[in-house]
Amino acid sequence: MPITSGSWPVKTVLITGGTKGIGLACGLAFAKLGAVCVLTNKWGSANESEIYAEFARTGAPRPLIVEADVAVPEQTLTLMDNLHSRFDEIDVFICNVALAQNVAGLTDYQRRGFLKSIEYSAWPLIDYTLAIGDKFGKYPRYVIGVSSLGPDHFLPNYDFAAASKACLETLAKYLHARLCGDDVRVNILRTGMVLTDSLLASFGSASIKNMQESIPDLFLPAEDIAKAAVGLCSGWMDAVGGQIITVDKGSSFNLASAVVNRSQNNKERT
Amino acid sequence: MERARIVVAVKANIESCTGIKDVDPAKSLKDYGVSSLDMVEIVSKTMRELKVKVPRSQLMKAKTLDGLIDIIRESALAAAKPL
Repeated sequence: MPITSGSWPVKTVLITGGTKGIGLACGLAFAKLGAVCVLTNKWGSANESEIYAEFARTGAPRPLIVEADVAVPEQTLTLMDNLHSRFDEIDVFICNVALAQNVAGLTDYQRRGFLKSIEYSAWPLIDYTLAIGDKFGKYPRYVIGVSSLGPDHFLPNYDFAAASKACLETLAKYLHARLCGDDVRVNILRTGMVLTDSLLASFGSASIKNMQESIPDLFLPAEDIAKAAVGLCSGWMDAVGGQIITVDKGSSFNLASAVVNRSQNNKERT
Repeated sequence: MERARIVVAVKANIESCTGIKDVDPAKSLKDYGVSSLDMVEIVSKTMRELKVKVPRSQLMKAKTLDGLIDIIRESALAAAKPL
């Protein structure tokens, strides 16, 4: 049965890295069901008027776009003050933002870059969830961290990003264990490849082209991730907690066969 | 936007983000130990100060301070162009 706005339990959604890619798709998906979305960003290169127009086209409530760097505690406090003055509670928190140092080789293994990658890509799950609890006196009912295939698969330049995602996934399980008694569900969406600015900045266009040719099924639209996020917060999946849910159309299980097929095709060509 | 203004802002942000002073504009930023993550921090600070928007995908093209300044300047000029 499709979810309708009439039966929808979610009123307010906070999404970090919410003005582009997966974050924006999640915002649109929740907003179409009537939720007010708070979309944060650090980079600030998104065209805000286009985002407002996109929400308006679907008849969704106008989102609140806020510049807030997840790695700056003062900005987190200011954001929470801002939200508390507007909303009674935050029903859903989606920890989507990820920013990690690219690693092209061993000389890029630097402690500072590694720790900063964790600070940007894993710690906000804890920091924002606790900050919401402190400010509103209540944690979000649903907390979702957005991860990737990186922890289990080699991806170019991705060492620190993958380590950050592994950290995010582990923290999500522990956070769920600590908060499940408070009617909170913390889960991870481990996503296949979604073509975003962030993906391009991490891998570069040549690597992405190579991956698209080798394993086209690994790529999926951001809207597919957003639907999974909505599903997790629909009330129908409230028994799911502390889980890592892979959203990749099953393609990562077939990685080995894709490589074999490609090498066979190459042999036939030569 | 004047190039000199961008140079001052970027140099100040390189120093505040990484502690590196007196960057040679023609030398590779990577040789100074500036990582991709440092670049994001330097440019996002600069964007905020100068009220310029630079697409993140452009950052990979910047190898030197001169190159980075060119990218920021081009973004500022493109935004200033009448439609």
